[in-house]
Amino acid sequence: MSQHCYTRRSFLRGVGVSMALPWLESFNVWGDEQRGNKPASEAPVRLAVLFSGNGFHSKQWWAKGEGRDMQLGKVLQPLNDFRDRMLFVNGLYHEEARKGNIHSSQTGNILSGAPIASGGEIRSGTSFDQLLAQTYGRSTKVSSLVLGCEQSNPSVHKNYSMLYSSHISWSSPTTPNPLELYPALAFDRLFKDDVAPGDKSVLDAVLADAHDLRRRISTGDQRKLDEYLDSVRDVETRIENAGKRGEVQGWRPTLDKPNRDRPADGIPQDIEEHMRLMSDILVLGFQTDTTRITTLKLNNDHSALRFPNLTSVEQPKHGIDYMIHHLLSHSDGEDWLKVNQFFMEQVANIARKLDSIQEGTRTLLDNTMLMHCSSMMAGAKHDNDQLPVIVVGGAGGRIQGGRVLDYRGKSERQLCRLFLSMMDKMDVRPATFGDAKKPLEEV
Amino acid sequence: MIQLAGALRVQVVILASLFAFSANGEDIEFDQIIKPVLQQYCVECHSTQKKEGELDLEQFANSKTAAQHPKVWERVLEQLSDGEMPPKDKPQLPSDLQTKIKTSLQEMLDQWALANAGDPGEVVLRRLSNREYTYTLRDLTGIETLDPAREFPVDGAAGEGFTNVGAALVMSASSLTKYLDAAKEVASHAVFLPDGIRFSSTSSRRDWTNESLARIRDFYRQFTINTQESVSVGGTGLVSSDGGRIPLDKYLAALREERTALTDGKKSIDTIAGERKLSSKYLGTLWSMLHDQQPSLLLEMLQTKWRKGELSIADIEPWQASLWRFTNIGHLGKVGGPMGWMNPVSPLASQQEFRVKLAAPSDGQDIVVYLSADDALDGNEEDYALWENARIVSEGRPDLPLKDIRDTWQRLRQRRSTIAATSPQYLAAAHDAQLANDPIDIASLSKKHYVDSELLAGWLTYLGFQTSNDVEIGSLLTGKTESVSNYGFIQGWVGENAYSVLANSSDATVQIPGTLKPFSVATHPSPTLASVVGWRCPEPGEFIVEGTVQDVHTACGNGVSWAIEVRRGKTRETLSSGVTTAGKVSSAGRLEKISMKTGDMVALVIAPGSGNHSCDLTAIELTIRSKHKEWSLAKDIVPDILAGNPHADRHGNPQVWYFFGEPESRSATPTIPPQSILARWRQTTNGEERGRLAFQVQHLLQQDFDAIPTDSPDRKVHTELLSLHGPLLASKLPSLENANHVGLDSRYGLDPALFGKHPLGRDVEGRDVEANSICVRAPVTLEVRLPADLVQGAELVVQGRLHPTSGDEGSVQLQATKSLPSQTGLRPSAFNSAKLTGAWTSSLPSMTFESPVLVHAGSTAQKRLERAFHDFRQLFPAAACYTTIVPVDEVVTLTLFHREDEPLSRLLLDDQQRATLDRLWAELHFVSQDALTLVDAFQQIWEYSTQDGPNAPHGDKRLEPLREPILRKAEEFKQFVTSVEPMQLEAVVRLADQAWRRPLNESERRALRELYQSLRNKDVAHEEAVRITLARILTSPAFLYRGELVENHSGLSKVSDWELATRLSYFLWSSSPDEELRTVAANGTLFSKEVLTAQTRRMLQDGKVRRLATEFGCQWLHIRDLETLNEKSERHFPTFIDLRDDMQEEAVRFFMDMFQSDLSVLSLLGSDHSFMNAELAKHYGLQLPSNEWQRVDGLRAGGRGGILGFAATLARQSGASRTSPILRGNWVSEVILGEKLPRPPKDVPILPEETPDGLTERQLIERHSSDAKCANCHKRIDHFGFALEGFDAIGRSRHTDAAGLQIDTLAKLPEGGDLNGLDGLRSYLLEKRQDDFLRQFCRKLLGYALGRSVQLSDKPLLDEMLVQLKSTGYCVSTAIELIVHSSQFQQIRGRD
Repeated sequence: MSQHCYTRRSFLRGVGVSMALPWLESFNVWGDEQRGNKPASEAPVRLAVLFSGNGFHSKQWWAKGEGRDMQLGKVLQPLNDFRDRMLFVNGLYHEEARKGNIHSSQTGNILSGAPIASGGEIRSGTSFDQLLAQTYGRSTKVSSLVLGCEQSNPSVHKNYSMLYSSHISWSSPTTPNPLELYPALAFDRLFKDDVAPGDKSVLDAVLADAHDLRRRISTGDQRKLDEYLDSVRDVETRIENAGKRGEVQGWRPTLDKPNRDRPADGIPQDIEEHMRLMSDILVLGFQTDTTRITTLKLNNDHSALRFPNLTSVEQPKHGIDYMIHHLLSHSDGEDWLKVNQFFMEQVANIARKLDSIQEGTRTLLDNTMLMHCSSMMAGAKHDNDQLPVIVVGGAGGRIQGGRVLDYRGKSERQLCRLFLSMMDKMDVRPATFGDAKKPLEEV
Repeated sequence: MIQLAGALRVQVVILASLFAFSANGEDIEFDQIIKPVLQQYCVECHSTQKKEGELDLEQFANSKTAAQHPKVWERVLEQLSDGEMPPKDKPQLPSDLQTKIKTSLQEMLDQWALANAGDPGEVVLRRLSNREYTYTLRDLTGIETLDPAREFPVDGAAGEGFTNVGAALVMSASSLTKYLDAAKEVASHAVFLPDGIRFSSTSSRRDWTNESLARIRDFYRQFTINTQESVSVGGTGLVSSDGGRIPLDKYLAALREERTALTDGKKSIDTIAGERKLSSKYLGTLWSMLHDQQPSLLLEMLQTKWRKGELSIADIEPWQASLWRFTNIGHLGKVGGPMGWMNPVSPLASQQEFRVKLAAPSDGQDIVVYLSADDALDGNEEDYALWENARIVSEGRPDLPLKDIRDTWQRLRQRRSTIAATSPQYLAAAHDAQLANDPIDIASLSKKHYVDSELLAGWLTYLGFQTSNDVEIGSLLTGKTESVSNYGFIQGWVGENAYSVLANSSDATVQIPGTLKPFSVATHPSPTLASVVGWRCPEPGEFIVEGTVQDVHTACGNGVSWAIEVRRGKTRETLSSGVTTAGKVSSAGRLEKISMKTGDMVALVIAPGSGNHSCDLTAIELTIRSKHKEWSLAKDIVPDILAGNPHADRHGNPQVWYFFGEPESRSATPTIPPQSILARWRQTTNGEERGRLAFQVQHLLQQDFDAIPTDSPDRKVHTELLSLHGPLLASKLPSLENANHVGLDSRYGLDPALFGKHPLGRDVEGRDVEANSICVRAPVTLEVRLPADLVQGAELVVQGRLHPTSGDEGSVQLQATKSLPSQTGLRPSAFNSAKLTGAWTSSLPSMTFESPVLVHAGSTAQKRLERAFHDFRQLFPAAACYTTIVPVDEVVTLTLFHREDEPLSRLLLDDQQRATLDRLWAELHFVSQDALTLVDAFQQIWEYSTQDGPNAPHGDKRLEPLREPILRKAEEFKQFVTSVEPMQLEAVVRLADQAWRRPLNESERRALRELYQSLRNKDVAHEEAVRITLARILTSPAFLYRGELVENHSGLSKVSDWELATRLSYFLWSSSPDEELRTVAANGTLFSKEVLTAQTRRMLQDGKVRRLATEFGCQWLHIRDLETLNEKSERHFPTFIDLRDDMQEEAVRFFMDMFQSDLSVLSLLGSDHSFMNAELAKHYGLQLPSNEWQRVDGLRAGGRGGILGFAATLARQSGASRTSPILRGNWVSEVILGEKLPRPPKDVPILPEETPDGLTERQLIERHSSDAKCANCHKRIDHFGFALEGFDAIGRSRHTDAAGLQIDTLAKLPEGGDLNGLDGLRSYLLEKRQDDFLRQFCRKLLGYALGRSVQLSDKPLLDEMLVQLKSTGYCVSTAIELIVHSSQFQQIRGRD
């Protein structure tokens, strides 16, 4: 079977019609043309993006100083151990995210900076993690993992679909990547290798169906159907790559197969357990080099998540009734801080795990970019003129941590510049991304 | 500009044509009116440069460019009309200018709308939503429990807020994997049948088999009585038959009640059968039989009754029971075994033995037995019967001929008086025997005392002096337990069912459960066994016995009964007994002067009491003291209870304490009643005392029984000593060599003169009658009176036989009964199978009939009766079919399924029904693969039977004949399975038509078959290959997407019939078209207005419209996912979680009813009814008699009614612990009225989740809304919310809030006036805002139907919907039908 690669672009070329390209597809430079600069036998750089909605405590998200002397606001306390390997990035924003509604249009473009369509349409932009996934997708068994700990919201709010509030990873401007909420299924996606007899035949057959169908439907529908074609292709790749992994020019991952059991079926009742399992899977995916790109949405913007595991400081007798994420975000009090820290502990937890894994002279954390961001700075204000962003990890020695980068008051403070910088660390260098034309020099 | 391009691109193409059509007028309008206003008032902010609010109004140089952006102008108009723009701090438009520009814009937009009316719009290719996917698969498979999407990511909503919009339905690699897995899972539910496939709710063959069984049973149940019944089965006793009887009562009732109608010809049998759901065939058969001119003997009896109008089921059922019997299915097929489950029997015999158990009537009267001989309905010609050898039979005694009964009775009475008179002598002898240290020599002892030696032996036995017999010990406990409830210091002996003896060797009181005190012993009986702790006397002497018993389960249990006995040989003497319950200590007291010999036993018996042994843990202590020693249960055994059973004492004697169980009902060995004279005699050893007591015994025995006080223990002594079965008389019935009949009591037995003679005299040859026999000519009944004292517990046995003088026509029905039989012609006879236990032997086990008809073998009489029985059986089988099917009446059987339904088939089924039944059976065999299973089963049984070698008595020889047929059938089955493979593949190919919602073309069909074949070529088994093919069909985009084909041009075109059918069914049912809709689509008639209307109406009636109610109705109202809403405070609202489902169910049922009953759309607001169960009604403060869902009327009077009063909506639009007038107001405004509110500012002031003290929720909001930043918005919504403040955060009515503050539901309208409460809001909405509400409903419905946002060009359709609704009484079908007939719904845009 020929190695056809059904990326969206090749379809557009193949169709050969001129049509208004979606915003992101007007990129003139594609990642895969720039691959392969990495020296042999070095571990690849991995990207993990974590997200939590509703921002943070308005007064306790800050960092000062450098390296080990860096001082952290209370929200960031859980990351104390990683001060010297963390970039605290202040003052970046998305111009497009400031338009539209609060909440519903502040999240769907967090990783792309693209404008968000209202009305019946669903349109944002391909997120930078997926741009990387499309580049590295065929190097690993699974091109990327898109995980979540809160299910998405099936409604429309003030003319914006709440899909936007629930999805940070977009594989195309019209395709928010469905979230995997089930730890066991996420685990399967990475490690289930027992291909059933006939799976391949079924996939070949339905791919043929899709080609047939594609010839006879409208152009708009064709684009929608391409999601299906891409998906089939992706699964086929995964089947072909089953058992194969991480053969980057002599480099071998430290782990061949998962060193833990498949998680139990179902979604854990306990949110902490859920986040921990998802974090484990994220780490395992990297450690086995089954995937290099993972996003983990810890909760939605406008989240209804509760925290039975945390006790309210302000209203102890109310317990979990009171500890609702979105509700707390407006309070800006002690409880809100507590919840913020709980989320930061998840980041720290992942960093700690990554750091415990040695890959050659570096740890896996040194080879990773672990970014965490939110849709707004402070939940009480819904302000996204400057977004809370941190990046932990060394990107294979390409990021010098222990620094506070403050862009407040400066021009050209697009968050997409950071994304350009991060893509650069993975050798993907589009000329522009979102509303940015150049990377951040400092990163 | 560029960001709008994508969205509006398609619109442009269509609008372009508009301008050629009306260019001039528009140019002027735009240039002269609109543009100057924009310049003056708007462009300052909305310039190309500033683009405030994403709006550039400067870019429109002329009408041409303006016309390309109708959405912009819609928005401009909206902002103007809402007074949002220009901002309050900017120059305002003069009102005339405002009116003018609004009119202009509206006209412009209207023209655009009109010109593009009916545009289907851009509808993005729709993947089936998770719900649609699930419903579609359920409908496709018919399995309602399938939930294949349970772990799928949640679908997004778009368009008008529904999850059926293509843009929001995405696909990813992980989703695709889930679809593939789900498809395989569904395929695993396919069940292969001889002619195709069906689906099952499970994927296990065992379940499929059970489903097939259930289908057959369901079929049987249509015709037979449904209830479980037991039938007596030879060899097993009572076995449940699961029904299977014909409901004769219903048939008889039908004939009886419709008799006149039938006779007059006003009704036919068919009509009546139809009305009463009976088999027409059987009903007709019965009718004919009842009017048959030449019936046979039994049926004639029924006819006679029928003619008198007296025929009832009581005339039939006894005969059914008499003429049929059931056998074990497990025996079928064995050599010489029965042929079927139900077997015909004829109560005919040439001779038979009768046995009548003789129990004394409770009133103390004599026992009476009647021996009757009847003529069996045919007159008494030649009817001579013999009662032969009548005798009383009792165990352990010689038979007593009935003839001798008078004499025997006489002698017995004499003997009794002898016993009574001589009792002092015998007791004196016993006294001697006891005191003598040597073994008793009865012969010399009797000689010494001048008494009868046998009688003396009887006395000694009764008194327990016969030391040769050891005390009987029941089953000793053998199980050990080293710890109880994790206490290592509690150990003991255990048996089954909690039966145990336990010792606590610690100084702690523990609950195990039940209290166990320090250093104590407790026991627990089992349900059937009493627990006995026995002390076996190690040395002879006189002892003092003490004991205590305490039920230590204070919390439960019904207590125990207990007794302390002395057992000597077979004799038991109860020293003390009682019942103890919860916690009470029962003391046996101090029992003194108990003399025992070595080996005698003191037994403490704890019995469960009423057979209920739960919680019967009983603390026990038993102490026995002699002059020198003491034995204590606790002291002897607690330290080392497990040392042995029997257990040693502390004095070095082994085997003193015994722990054993024995049945609660003990053997019949008589015990001497405590406190009786004889017991007192037994207790003392003083000779003088004994002598005195012996005379009292004599006096007692000479007394008349009735003279003894009823509460005296001596009554029992009297009975036992003088009973025929008692120790003294048991084997002592005197022989009767010299019978003397003179002066005998003639009440009893029969006159000896009746014996040994023929009624016609004895002189003729052949009339010989044995001396012990009585010969009678039927009909005659002999009354036999017997003294209860004498014969109680014995049996009267007599042989019945036809006397040789009876001729060919002779037939006599005999029976022996205990009550006087009524004279009847011929009576049905039960048969006696009580004794027929055990395995099947060679043929039908011999049976005894209670009242057999005696005939000579091969006689005319026999043939005549056999025929009569046969005719009856043909018409009245005891059962019509064997509904159990799977025989469970034998442990080992080679019968897996047994089909026996010939009577059903013959009597009740028509040809079609018979074919259905045959097909069901064929499916069962196919699905269960029993032909293959049998091979293994046979092998196992064969191996089992030959484990003792091939020549074992029950070994292979007997089974060998079965081997070949089993193997052959298995081979045939395999071939059959292979032969139907193509049909199963074709069934799956056919199913693809339905799955893909259109007929497949030939190449697609071929591709499916090729996939199958290629899998087979790779050695994939047939079933697996078919399942993969099925999975492939269900993973195809043709299944997962609602792909609609387009012509190559860019204009509009109609969708195909199949696509229209699909649009319609997904609109109304969220699923694929059903059979009927597919038929219409295939005919090509769906586009016909009548057909489409008819289909729409039909589908709205269907139960599947529930999905429209959920997916459209609930989603529109934002309550579709209420059943998973978990944001409510459990502290404030503990009842909410359990009510969520019910709240949503109410809304679903309300919408369903609206669609199915075609109610007014306005009923959504104004309805006076809703649907609820008792739980929900309680929530609403109403009471319902049952928790069934039901319609409830009169809600408006209680301040509810319609969607405004749903707990679901009220709760959804509230906070976690308080109401939110803002959310509710916003909901009314946006969701119900379709208003577009400005976006809230980013820095909304915070409202606390709980109201501060002293403020109501309303006051809290009012404080907030008075903030200038917020007021603009809140003045448009808050009043709606305030009106609904009469309901708390989970929708309950209230007058005060949680803090007790008064609720205020009066709200001021911004336009003036006010409204109060739900009633006020409803009136306002219905009267003042009716059009807005209707338009919003139509808009949402249209958006849902089309799967996209409503667009400008839909306005004419919406207008039309409003007009039509008003003219048809707002019936919801009007709106739905207008949609399905619209070109939006029926057309599709071209390729580009």
